[in-house]
Amino acid sequence: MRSIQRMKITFTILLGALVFMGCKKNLADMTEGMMFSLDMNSFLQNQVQVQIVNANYQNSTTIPSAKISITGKDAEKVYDINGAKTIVVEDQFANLAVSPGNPLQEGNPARFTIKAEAPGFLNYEKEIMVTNVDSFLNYTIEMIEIANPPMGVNILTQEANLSGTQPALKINSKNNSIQTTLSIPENTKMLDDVGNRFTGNASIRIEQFDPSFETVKSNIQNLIPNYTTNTFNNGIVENFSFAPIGYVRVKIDNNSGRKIQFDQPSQLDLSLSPQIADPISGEPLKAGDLLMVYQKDPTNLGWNFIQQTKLTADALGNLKANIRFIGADELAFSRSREEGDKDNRPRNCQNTLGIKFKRNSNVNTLHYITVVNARNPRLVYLNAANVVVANNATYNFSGALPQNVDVKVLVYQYESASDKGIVVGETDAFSSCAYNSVNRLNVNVNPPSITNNPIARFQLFTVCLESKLAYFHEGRIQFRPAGSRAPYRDMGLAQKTGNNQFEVTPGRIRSDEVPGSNNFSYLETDRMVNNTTYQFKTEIIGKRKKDGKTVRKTYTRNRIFKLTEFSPASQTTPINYNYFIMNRSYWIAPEDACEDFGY
Amino acid sequence: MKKVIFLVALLITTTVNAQLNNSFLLSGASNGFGLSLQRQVGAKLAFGVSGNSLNASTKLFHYFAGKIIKTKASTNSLQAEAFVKWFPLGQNYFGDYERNRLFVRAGAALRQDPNYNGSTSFWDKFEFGDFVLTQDQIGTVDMLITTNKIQPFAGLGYSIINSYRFNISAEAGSFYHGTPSMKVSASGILQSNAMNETQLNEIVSTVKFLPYLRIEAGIKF
Repeated sequence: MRSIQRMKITFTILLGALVFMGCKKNLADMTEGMMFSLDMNSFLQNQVQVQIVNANYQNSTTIPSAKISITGKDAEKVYDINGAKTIVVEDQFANLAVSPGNPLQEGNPARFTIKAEAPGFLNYEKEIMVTNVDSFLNYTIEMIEIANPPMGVNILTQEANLSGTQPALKINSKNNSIQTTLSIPENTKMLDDVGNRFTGNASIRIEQFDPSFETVKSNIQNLIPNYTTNTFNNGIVENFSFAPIGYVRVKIDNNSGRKIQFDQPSQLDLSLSPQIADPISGEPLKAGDLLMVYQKDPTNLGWNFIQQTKLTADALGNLKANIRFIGADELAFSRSREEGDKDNRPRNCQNTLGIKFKRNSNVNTLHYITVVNARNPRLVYLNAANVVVANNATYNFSGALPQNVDVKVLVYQYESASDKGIVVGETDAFSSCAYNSVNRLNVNVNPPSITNNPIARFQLFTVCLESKLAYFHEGRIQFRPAGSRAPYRDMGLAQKTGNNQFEVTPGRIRSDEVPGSNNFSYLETDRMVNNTTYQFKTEIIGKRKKDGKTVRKTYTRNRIFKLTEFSPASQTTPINYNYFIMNRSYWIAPEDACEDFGY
Repeated sequence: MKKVIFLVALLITTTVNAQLNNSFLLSGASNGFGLSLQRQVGAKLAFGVSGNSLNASTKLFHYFAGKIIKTKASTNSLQAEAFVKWFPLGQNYFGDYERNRLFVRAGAALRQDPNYNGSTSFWDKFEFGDFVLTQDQIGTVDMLITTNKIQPFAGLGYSIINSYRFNISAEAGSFYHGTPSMKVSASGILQSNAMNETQLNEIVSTVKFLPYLRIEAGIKF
């Protein structure tokens, strides 16, 4: 009987040990070698990053302290990247999330306007369209400093006491290729938009924009609210290629917050340099040419034809025109040589140009592109900043080209008109209306063949070893020469492996022996020059441990780009090409992010 | 023919001499609930078949990165077993119930659906600025572990009660379910965690045995 009892006890212990050993597996052991990730980008599918810079950064150290607001049809869908409605500008960058958690539908893009306001700068408005496939959009807002505008923009502000009994007043704009004298008759008062007359001090500002400067041409639609190329003559839509030779805006401000104009017509005496050329034909202006004057009409969102006047030459050869000015805001000047038949002006193509890029690598960078006259590349018909140039990427111009001209597409090294670099891609000449958004023009872009820069590939991740959290960098990373106060340039698009068609070369994974998977993001660039020190900017969006809030952290670090720190590699897609790979992600990515986030 | 006659004779003899050497048992085990039919064919040997239904699920909670994580695990399968029982201390006569308590069982199980499912997500609410993410937006990490359909097993048991008419036994052992493989899929903000599939496979592939505990109770006839 005792042996039976002993057997019972032994068996019970054996049974317990068996079950215990078999089932229990320490969680820490189970997760050894694993990393975990919270992918907020799956919630923030459509992101827009905005960099705000001084358009005249070469000559001014003033950084716009901008406030960003969102208006327009889908403004309610736009949030700050932190999930709040108030858009935060931090270190000149604002990050927007469009329709977070609620994916945009194909064919129903979100449209909204970003308005940037900064003391001492002209307001800037940019219309943005985000489609369901636009994951990471980048824009640079080049704000114009009133006291220090860039070439092609002149601004003059004069204080005046419009008492109603004052003598006539003349305000001369700065001497430039376009010069304006505003003559305000005696006893002029201010008039608001509901017909009330005011007297008192007013600030009268004349702003001139010369679109022969590419930086002006590429930004004019952002400087004139609701910019359009639609024109009307006596309420009837005109059909010609609207390419003004200049713009003048008169703003009257008495600090009332109301829209103000003069209560009687004033006169604008315009003086144009004979160096000014017709923006379409390239012919220089001459005496006898007709100047067609248009005024922006906010009611029909177009330009109303208000006056036609013949240019006369003064003793210095400058071309003169007198314009009767009623109201306020913008005037545009167009030129016609065919007297009496203003409809005999160049017309636009019915279609808009569509292009498709061919690139010999997996580099995905932003570029400034133009469509120019094939015989005279100084005549820029269309331009676009921040265009994604990647193999098989497409772009549709929103504006139409003038008919019956031979044109070509130029692709510049960088993404903005004020910092465009050299031409790295150029097409053959083609007839302006030959291609459209279905029948696209192929544009070959291979910057290394021009710049001799190597293609460098970076593998990007941040791993918090203690908490086993991994962050995969997605989106565009910026860089600039170290010590520069120039705007950051786009370095390329960081993409997660596994979520796209390009896989990182198998086996060429991290060399720093961080435990975890072989997953990471990668970025290719061909914009860096060997042995040059750069400043890199990266961002991490994640949960902060102490309060659980989702926060965005921006990190910058300086590094010398030395090819000796990279390993040569090659790839077969989209074609055979060689590149240099950097295995240490922390070369760019921050080392202290884990601590910042509390992990 | 001689062998057949011998076996029939043996069967008749054992039936006559030992009287109650068939058992009908209900079983409750870590691998499900079921029925078992056994026949004692000698003092030290029995064989039988059983059928189980395993419909099990559990929820586990743990704390990770400042959040509570919930994991739901489940499996649902019918299982048929054929086995042999060996009573090492059995005597040459059937009436010695006391000495016939310890047994070793070995056999093979056929599992209709040899898969285990796991699904992990945040149990806490997940906020993003003005938003509280929905469960779909948070997503899950889903794991599917597949094992062999045919799983040999062996166990050691003890009859707690072993009387003339009744039997209650407890048993522990293990199934051999081969080298499991795991498929991981993930969605929502957890989607990147599918990257751990290789590591998880390395872990589960070492778990080739599934321990079991079984309690059986039944009558002899």
